[in-house]
Amino acid sequence: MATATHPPLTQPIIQSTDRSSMGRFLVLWVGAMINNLGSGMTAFGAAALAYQLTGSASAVSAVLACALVPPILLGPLAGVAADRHDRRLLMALGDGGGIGGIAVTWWAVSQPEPSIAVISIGMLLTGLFTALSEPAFKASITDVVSPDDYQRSSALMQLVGASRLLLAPAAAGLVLAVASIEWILAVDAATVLVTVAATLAVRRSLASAARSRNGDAATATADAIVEPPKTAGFLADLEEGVRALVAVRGVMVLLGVFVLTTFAAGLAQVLFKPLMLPRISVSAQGALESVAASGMIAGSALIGAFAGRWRSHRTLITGLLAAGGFLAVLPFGGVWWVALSGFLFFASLALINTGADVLVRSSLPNGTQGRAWGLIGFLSQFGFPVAYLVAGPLADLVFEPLLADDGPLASTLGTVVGVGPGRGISLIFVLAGAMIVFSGAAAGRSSSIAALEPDTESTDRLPNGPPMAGRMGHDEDHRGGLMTRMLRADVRRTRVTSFVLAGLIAMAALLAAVGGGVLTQLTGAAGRLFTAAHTPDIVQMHAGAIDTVAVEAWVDTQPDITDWQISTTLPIPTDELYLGSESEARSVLQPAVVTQHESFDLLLDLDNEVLTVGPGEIAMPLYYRNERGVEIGDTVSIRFPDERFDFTVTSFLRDSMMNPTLATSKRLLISPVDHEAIAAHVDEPEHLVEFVLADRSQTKTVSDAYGESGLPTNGPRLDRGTFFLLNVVSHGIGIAVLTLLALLMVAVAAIALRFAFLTAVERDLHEIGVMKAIGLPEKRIRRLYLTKYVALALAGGLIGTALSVPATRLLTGPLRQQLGEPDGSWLLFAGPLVAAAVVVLAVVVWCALMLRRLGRITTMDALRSGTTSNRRRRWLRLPRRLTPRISPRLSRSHLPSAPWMGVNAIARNLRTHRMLLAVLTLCTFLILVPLNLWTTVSAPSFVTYLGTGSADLRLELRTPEAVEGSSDLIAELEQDADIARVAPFVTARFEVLNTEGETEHLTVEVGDHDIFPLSYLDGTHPDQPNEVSVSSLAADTLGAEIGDTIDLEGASGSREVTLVGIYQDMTNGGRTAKGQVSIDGEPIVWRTVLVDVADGVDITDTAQRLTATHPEVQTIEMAEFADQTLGELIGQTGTLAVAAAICAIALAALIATMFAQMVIARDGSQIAIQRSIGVADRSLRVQYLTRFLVVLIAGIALGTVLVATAGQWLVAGAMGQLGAPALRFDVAPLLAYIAVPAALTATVVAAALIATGTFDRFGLNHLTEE
Amino acid sequence: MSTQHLIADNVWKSFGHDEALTPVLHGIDLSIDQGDFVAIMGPSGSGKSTLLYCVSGMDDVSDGTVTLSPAGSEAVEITALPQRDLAALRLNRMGFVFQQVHLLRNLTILDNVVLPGVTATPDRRADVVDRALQLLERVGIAELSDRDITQASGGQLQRAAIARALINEPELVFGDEPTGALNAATAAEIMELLAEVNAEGRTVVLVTHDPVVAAYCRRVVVLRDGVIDGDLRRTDGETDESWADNLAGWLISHGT
Repeated sequence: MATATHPPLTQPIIQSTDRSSMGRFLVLWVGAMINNLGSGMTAFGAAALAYQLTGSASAVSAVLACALVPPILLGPLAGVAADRHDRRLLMALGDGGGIGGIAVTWWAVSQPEPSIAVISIGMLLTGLFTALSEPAFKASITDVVSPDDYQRSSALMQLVGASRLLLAPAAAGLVLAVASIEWILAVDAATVLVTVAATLAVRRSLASAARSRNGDAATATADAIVEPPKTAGFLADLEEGVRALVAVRGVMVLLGVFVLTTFAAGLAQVLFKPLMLPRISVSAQGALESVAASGMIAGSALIGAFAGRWRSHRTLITGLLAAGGFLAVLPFGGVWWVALSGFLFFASLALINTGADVLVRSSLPNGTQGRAWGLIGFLSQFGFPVAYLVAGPLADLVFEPLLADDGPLASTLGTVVGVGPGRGISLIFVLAGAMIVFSGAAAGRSSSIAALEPDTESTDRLPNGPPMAGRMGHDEDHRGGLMTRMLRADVRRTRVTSFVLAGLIAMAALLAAVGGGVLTQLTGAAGRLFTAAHTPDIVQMHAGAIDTVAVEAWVDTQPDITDWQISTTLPIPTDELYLGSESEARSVLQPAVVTQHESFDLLLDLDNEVLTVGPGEIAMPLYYRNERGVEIGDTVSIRFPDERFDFTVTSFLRDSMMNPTLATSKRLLISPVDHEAIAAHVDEPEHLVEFVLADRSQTKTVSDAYGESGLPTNGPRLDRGTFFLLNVVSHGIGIAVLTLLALLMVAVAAIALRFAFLTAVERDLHEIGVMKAIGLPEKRIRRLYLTKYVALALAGGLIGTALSVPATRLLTGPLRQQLGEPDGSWLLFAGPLVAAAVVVLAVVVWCALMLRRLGRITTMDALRSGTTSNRRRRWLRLPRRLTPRISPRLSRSHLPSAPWMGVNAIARNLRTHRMLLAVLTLCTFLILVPLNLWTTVSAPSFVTYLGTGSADLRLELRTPEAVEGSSDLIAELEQDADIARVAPFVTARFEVLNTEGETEHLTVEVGDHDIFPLSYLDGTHPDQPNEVSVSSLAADTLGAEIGDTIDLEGASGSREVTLVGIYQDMTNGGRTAKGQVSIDGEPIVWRTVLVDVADGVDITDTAQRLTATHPEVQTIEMAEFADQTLGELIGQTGTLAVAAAICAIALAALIATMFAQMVIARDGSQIAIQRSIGVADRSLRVQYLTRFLVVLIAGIALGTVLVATAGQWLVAGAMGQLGAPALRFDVAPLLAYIAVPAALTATVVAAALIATGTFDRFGLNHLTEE
Repeated sequence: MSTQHLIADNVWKSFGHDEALTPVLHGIDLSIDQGDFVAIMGPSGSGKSTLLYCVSGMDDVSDGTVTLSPAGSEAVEITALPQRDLAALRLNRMGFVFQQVHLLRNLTILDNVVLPGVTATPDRRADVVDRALQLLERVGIAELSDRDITQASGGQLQRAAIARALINEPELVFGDEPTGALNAATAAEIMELLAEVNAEGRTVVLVTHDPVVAAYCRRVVVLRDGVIDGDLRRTDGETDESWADNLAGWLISHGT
C-alpha cells in the first residue's frame, strides 16, 4: 500500500514509456520552433525596415529593444508564474497575446509613412507576451517528458534558440527579396496560431491521458496529476540564489565577464544592420546574419568533439580572446570577410558559453543549482537589454559624429578606422571587441576563476546549456542514459576520425553547393540578360549593301515574325581605333560602332538597364575594361585619315550576342548623331538583319526559309540558342568539372564512411556483443551509431553550405560581371541548399544501409572477438575471396625489417588498404586532369587547335589599302633577311550542303599549306588543285570522310573538291576548311600572312618593325593571338587547376590522417607486442611510413595511368564539342611528374607522422587488455 | 651463483591520480640472483603482474629503483632509462612469454621468432634465420615454421613464443602466467622447456597462480596486498617430491 504524501519537486506527470511523452514534447517543440522562426523573422524585418526608413541606428535599436528586452527582463517573473499556474495555458495566452502585437505592427507598416514609434509598440506587445510563454514552455518539458528523454529533449531545446538566430534572418531575407514585410507578419501570425493550436491539443491530450489513468485504481498513486509545486516565493528564491552566488567569489567575477560579453554581443547584434545595410541588400543581410549565427553551431559541434580535453578555464579564456578579436576586425572588409569574422565570432561565443557553464556548474552546490541558475541566467543576460537600448543612440549621437568627415577624431583615430558614415559604428565594434579581449585577459589572470576548475574530468557532466543569446534560466543537469554516454565517449575517442569524416562531408557538400549555386546563377543570369536585352531569335549578318524593301516584302510573308529590324554596324579598322593614345592595331577583335535599337537587341549597362549615350559619348564592351584597362572617363577616338572623332567613355555595356571572348566581333555604342557622321567614313558597313519570332520553336523553319529566299546572306546566320550557348559554354566547363569533383568527393566520402564505420564496429564488437547479450534491442544499438553519423553529416553539410557562399561568390565573379548580378530570388539559395541537402541525405541513407550489417553479427561471435579464430570477420567479408595469396617472408627477404613489416602489413591486409589506394588514385586524377588541361591550353603549340599553323607572326590584311599592297608586301617579306618563311593565305566564303540538306557557309583558306603545316587528325594537307581539308566539326556537319568529294557553291559557280585531310579548329564555331581551290570571283573574307622569323631574330622586334613600316597591316605575335582568342579559357582552366589541386590535396590529407589514425588504433595490440619485444618506436614509425608511401606510390602511378587514358578521353570528348576532338594533353613533366607527386607525398607523409605521434600509448594496457 | 642479477629497491607503484591514487606495490625489496628460477605468486590483486612488469622495465615505477647488474657487466638502473634504451634492453637482454602468447598475426611462426633477431642484428639475417630454425626444432615445432599463427594450437604457439623469447640469447626470461591458457599436459611440457632454459644459465622469473607451475621453480615469492609476504627457496639437493610438499604446505600457510 503506497501513499503519496510528499511528491518530489518535479513530479513528472507522465511516467510511462517514451513514445507518447516524446510525441507530445515534439508537438510542442515543433510549435515553438515555428513560432520562434516567425518572431525572429519579424524582428529582423522590422529592424531592417526601421533602418531603411530612417537610416539611423537608434531606430534599429528601438525596434530590437522592444522585441527582445521584455523576455529577458520579465523572465524571472514569468518563470514564477509558470510555476504557479497551468503552464500550457500560459503558453497559449502568451502566444495568442502576441498576435495583438503583430496586428499593431501590421497596421503600422501598412501606413504610407510608417512610424517607428508605432512599430516599436507593436514589437513591444509581442515581446511582452512572448515573455509569458517562454519560461512556461521551458518548464513544460519536465511535465511532459519522461526522465529517460530529458537529455534528448533539452538538446532539442537548444535548437529552438538557434532557429531564431540562425534560420530567421535568412528566411526573412528571402521573403523580403520577393515580397514585403507584410508577408513576414502574416507568416508570424500564422505560426503563432499553429503553436497555439498545438499547445491546446497537447494540453487536452495530457488531460485525457491523466483522466484515463486516474480511472485505473491499481495504479492510483504517483500517476495522479500533481499540482505544479508552489515555490516559496520569488524573493525568497532570489535571496537564496544570491547567497549561493556570493559565496563563491569566482562566480561573481565570471558573472561580470558574462555581463560584459553579452553587452558587447548585444551591441554587435543591433549595429550589424546599420553597418551592412548601406552596402548590401536586405536578403544578403539575412543570409549574412544566418551565416554568422551558424558559427554558434559549428563552435558547439567542435566543443562536442573535443570536450574534456581542454580545461574549462582555458576554453573560456580562448573563447573570450578569440571573440573579441573577431569582433574587432569584423567591420574592415568586404561582405564575405564580414561573414567569416561573424561566423568565427559566434563560434567563439560557443566556447565562452561552454567554459563558463562548466565552471559555474561545478562550483555551485547541487541543491541550489536551480535557483542559482535562474538568477545567473537573468544577470548574465543583463548585458543584452542595456546594449539594445544604448547601442543606437550611442552610434548616432556619439560615435558617428566623432568619426564623421570633419569629426573631432577624424584626423587621429580616423586614419586607422576610417572616416565617414558607418565608421563610427566600426569603432564601436572595435571597442566592444577590445572590451571582450580585456575581460578575457582579466579572467585569465583571475585566480578566483581558475579556482573554479573542476578537479576530475567527469564524463557525465558535459555542458549542454543553451546558447548564450537565448539563455533563459536553466534546466536541470540531466544525466544522459547509457546510450548518450557511450555516444559521447565514442565521439571523443575517435575525434580525429569524426573530424575528418565531418570535413569530408563538408567538402562534398561545399562542392555540390558551389556547383549548384554556380549553375543556377549561370543559367539564371544568362536568361535574365537575354530577357532584358530582348535578344533576337534569328540574326543574319551581312557584309555589303542590303535591299531593305526586299527584306520587308519577305517578312510580310512570314506570319511567325513579330518584329524585325536591320541594324547597321560600322566596322572600324583596329588601327584606326585608339584607346587614349594607343591604337588597337594589334588586337584580334573586330570592333564596330552601333546605335541603340528601339525595341530589341538592346545593349545594356552593368545593371542590365538599357543604355543611352549622348553625342560625344561612347559605351564600351566589358572586354575593354577587363583586358585593356579602360576606365570610365577615358577617351576613345576613331581616327580616319581625314577626320578624327573623340569620345568619352561613359559606361560599359553588356552585349548578349557578342559578350563571350570567343566572339571576336564587338559592338561599341554611340549616339545616332555620331553614328551618322562616322557612316560617311566607312565604305563597307555591315548589317544585322534581326528577327523576333512569336514562337521560338519555329526558329529553324524561319531561318531555313530565309536561306532559301534569296535575300542577302553574306555572312553567318545565327540563332538565339547559339548565342546563349556561347555565353554559357565558357563557364560551363567550370561547372562540369565542379560537378565531377563533387561527385568524386561524395564517392570518396562514402568510401571513407564505410571504412570508418567498419573499423568502429570492429573495435566495438565486444561492446556490441555485451549489449546484445544483455538483450538491448538492435534498434537502439543501431540508433547509437546512426545518431553519431547523422550528426557528423549535418555538421559537415552546414559547414559546407556556409562556406559555399563566399566560394560561389568568388567563382562566379567573371560570370556575374559578364551576365549580371543574381537577383536574390529564392532559387539562388535553393540551388546550393538542395545540392548540399542531397549530399547529406545520401550520406545518411548510406549509413543507415551499412548499419543493417549489425544484424548479421551473432552475439557469441561478437563476445568472442579478439581471439584468433578463422571465423573472425566472416560477416565483414566479401562473398568471394578477393585477397590474393601473397605471402612474403621476413626470413627470405632482403629488405630491412622495418620496411619489410610495412610491406607485409599491406600484403596481408590488401582489403584495408584498398580505400587509401582508391582515394590517392582519385586525388592524383583530380589534380592531374585540370592541370594537364591547363598546361595544354596555355602551351604555344595549342594554336594547332585553332586551325592555324605554328608560326611566329600572323599578319592580317583587313583594310583595302592593305589588300592593294599585298603582293608588294609578300615580295618584301620574302626578301627580308630577318624572315625565314612567308605564307600568304586568302580566305573565301562558299556554301555547302550539310547532311540535312541545308546550305551552310564554309570559309576556305587558300594558300600554300605546306609551309606551316597543321597536325592532322586524319589525312594530310591539301596541295593539289581541288583538294581541301576541313575541320573536324565541319567534317561532321558535312558527313564527309577522307576521299569524299564536296560541292563548293560559290558566287561564280560550283566546284568539286576532294577531301584529303581533317584537322582541329576551335575558332569560328569550329567549321573551317583549307584548300587549293580557285577563288576568282568569290567574296574574300580575309587575307592573312603567316611569318616565321629567322633563327636568332627577336620576334617582338620584327613585329614592331613591320607595324611601323606597314601600319595598314595588323601584325600580331602568334602567342598573343592565341592569348586573345583563348584568354578566358586559359584563365578559367588555370583557376580550375588550382581549385582542384587544393581540393585534392586537402582530401588526401584528410583521408591519410584518418586512415593512419584508424589503422594504428586497430593495430594497437600488435604495436604493443612489438614494443614489448623491444622494437624501437623509430622502427615502428618506419613501418607505417613505408606502408603509406607504398600505397601512395601505387596510387600516383595508377592515377597517372588513369589520367592518360580515361582522363584524356573525357577531356577530348568535352573539347570535341568545341572543335578539338583529338585534344592530347601537353603534359609539363616538371609539374605533372615531379611537383604533384612531391606535393602528395609531402601531404601523406605529414599526415602519417602527425597520426603516429608517439607510440607511448600502446603499452601495457594494450597487452593486458585482450 | 649468488651474484645479484636484478635488484628491486623500495619499489612503489600506484595507479590513478589525485584522490583516486591507489598504491599497488608498497615498497618492494626484491633481489634476484643470476641464474635464479623464481616464481612470483599471490592472490589476484596482490600486484604480482605489476611487480613483474616493473622489474622488467615494461612499466615505470612511482618510486624506488630497479637495477640490472649481470656478472661481468656494468650495472644498469632500469628505472632511470629512457624509452629508447629500455626497448634496446628488452630486445637484447630480456625475453618475454605472456599468457596470451602475443605473437604477431601478420607473420608466420618462423618470422615471429626471426623478427627480434633481425631487429637486433640486421646485417646477419641468415644467421638469425638459422638460429630461429634451431630454436623451433628445440621447442619441438620445427614443422610449423611456415604456418600462420591461426594454424597452430595454443600450446604450439606458446612454444613458439618461448623460441622468440630466446632468439637474442637473453640473460633474463620473464613469464606472465605462461601456462595460464593451457591444459595440464601442455603446461607441463612448457614448464619443462622453461626449466631447460634456466638450466642454460638464464635467469627466469615467472608470475603464476598455479602451485604446480611454481614447483618447477627454485624460489617462490608470495605477494599479498602489495608487499612480500613470503620468500621460500628450494634447498640444494632437495628432491622434487620434497620440494613440492614443502611448497604446498608453505603456500597454504600463506593463504595462496
